[in-house]
Amino acid sequence: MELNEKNIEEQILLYVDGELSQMEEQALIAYLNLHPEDMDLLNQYQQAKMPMERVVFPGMDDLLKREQKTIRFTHYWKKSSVGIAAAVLLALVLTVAYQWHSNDAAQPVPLSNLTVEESSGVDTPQKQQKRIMPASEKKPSLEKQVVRKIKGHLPTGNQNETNKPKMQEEKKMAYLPTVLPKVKRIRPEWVNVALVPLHPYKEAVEGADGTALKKSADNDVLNKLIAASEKSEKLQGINDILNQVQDKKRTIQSGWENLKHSRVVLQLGNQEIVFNPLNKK
Amino acid sequence: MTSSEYNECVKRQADGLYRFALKSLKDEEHAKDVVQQAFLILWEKRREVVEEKAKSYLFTIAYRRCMDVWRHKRKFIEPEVLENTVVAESATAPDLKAILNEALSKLSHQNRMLVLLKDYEGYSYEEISELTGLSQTQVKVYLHRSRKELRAFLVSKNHLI
Repeated sequence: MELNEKNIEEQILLYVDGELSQMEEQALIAYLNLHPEDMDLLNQYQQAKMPMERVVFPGMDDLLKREQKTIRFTHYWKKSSVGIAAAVLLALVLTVAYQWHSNDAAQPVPLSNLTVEESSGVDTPQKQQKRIMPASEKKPSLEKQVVRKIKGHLPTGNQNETNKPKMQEEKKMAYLPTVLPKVKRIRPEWVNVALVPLHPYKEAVEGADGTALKKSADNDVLNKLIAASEKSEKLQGINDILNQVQDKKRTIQSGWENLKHSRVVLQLGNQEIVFNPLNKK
Repeated sequence: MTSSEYNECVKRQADGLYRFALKSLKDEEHAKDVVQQAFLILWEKRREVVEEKAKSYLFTIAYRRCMDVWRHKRKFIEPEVLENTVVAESATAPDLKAILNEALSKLSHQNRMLVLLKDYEGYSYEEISELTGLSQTQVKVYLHRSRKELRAFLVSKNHLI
C-alpha cells in the first residue's frame, strides 16, 4: 500500500494498535523519515494509549474453591455390578444343572434293552444337559473297576499252583486283545447313547441285574478272567495283568479325545455294543 | 477445567477482569458483581470450558454484563451525575494518567470497553470481534474513532507534546 497524506493517520493508528505487519511497519517508518511533520501525530497517538495500571480485586478469596477429592462409589458399584451379576447367574446355572443331573441319574439298564438312537444332528438342550456330568458323579477309572472286580472274586482258600502260568497266559491272551483293538470310529455324527454303558467290562460282569451276563456265552473273555482270578494264589499275576491293562488303557486314553463326539462300536465275541465315550453311564 | 485450574484462573484473571469492569462501569460494587458473576458462570461451566479459553470466556461474560448494567444505569441515573463523578475523580490527580482516565470516561460505553480490551488486555481486532460480537471492521472503526477522541481531549488539555 502506498502511503500518502490521506492514509497516513490510519496507518499510524494501526501501528499504535499493533495491527501492522512487519513490512507495513517498515514502510511507515520509511515514510515518517521522509515526512518528519507526521512524526508528532505518531507521538500523540502513542501517548493517548491507556497506560498500564494495576487494580486489585478485593474479593479474590471468595472466588477460590476448595479442592475436594470425591470418591464416587456409584462408579465403582457400576463397574462391579456387572461382575457380581455374572457370578450370580453362573452360580444359578451350575446349581440348576447339578440338580438336574442328580435327579436324572438313571439306574443300570439291561443290555438287552439298550438301543442306539441316531440323532438328527441337532444338538438339543436335553442332549447338552445330559453331556454335563458333575465330577462327583464320575465313575471310577477303568483300572479301579477291574481291580475291584478281580479282588471281589479272589478266593481265600488254597489254589492250584500248577495251573498258574497257564492261567496267566490265558488271561493275557484272552482278555486284552479281544476287547481293545476292535474300536471303530464313526464321525462326525453325534449319537445319543445316553443309555449305552460306557465300560462294557462292568456291564459284562454284573450286567443290568448283576448276574445276567456273568453266565453269558458271549462273555467268555471276562469269565475266563474271573475264573483265572479265582484260581490265582498270589496277586503277582494279577499285577502283571494290571500293568498290561494300564498300557492298553493309555492307548485308549491317547485316542480318547479323538473318540469324543463319535460313535464307538465294541465287539465282545458275537455281541456288538455301540456307545459314546462322552456318555459315562 | 479442574478445580485447581479454576483457582489458577481466578488468581490470574480476577484483577484484570475487575479493572475492565471498574473502568467500564465506574462503579466498584457493580464491577465486583460483574466479576463474581463471570467466575460463577465459569465455575458452573468449568467442564465445558478449557483452560486456554477461560480468559476469553470471562471477558465475554463481563462485556455482556457491563453492557446490561450500563443500560440499566442509564435508565435510572442522569448522565450528568455520571460525568460529575468522573470529573471529581480526575480533579484530584491532574497528571497524564488521570487525564487519560477522564478522556476515557468521555467515550461512549462501547468504545470505552473496546479501548480497555485493546490497551489493557492486548487483544487484537479479531479477538475483540469474537468477544464482543462486532465485526472486525466495526472494531477497527470504533477504536480509531476512540483514539482520535482521546488525542483531541489531551490536546485540549495541553498535555501532549
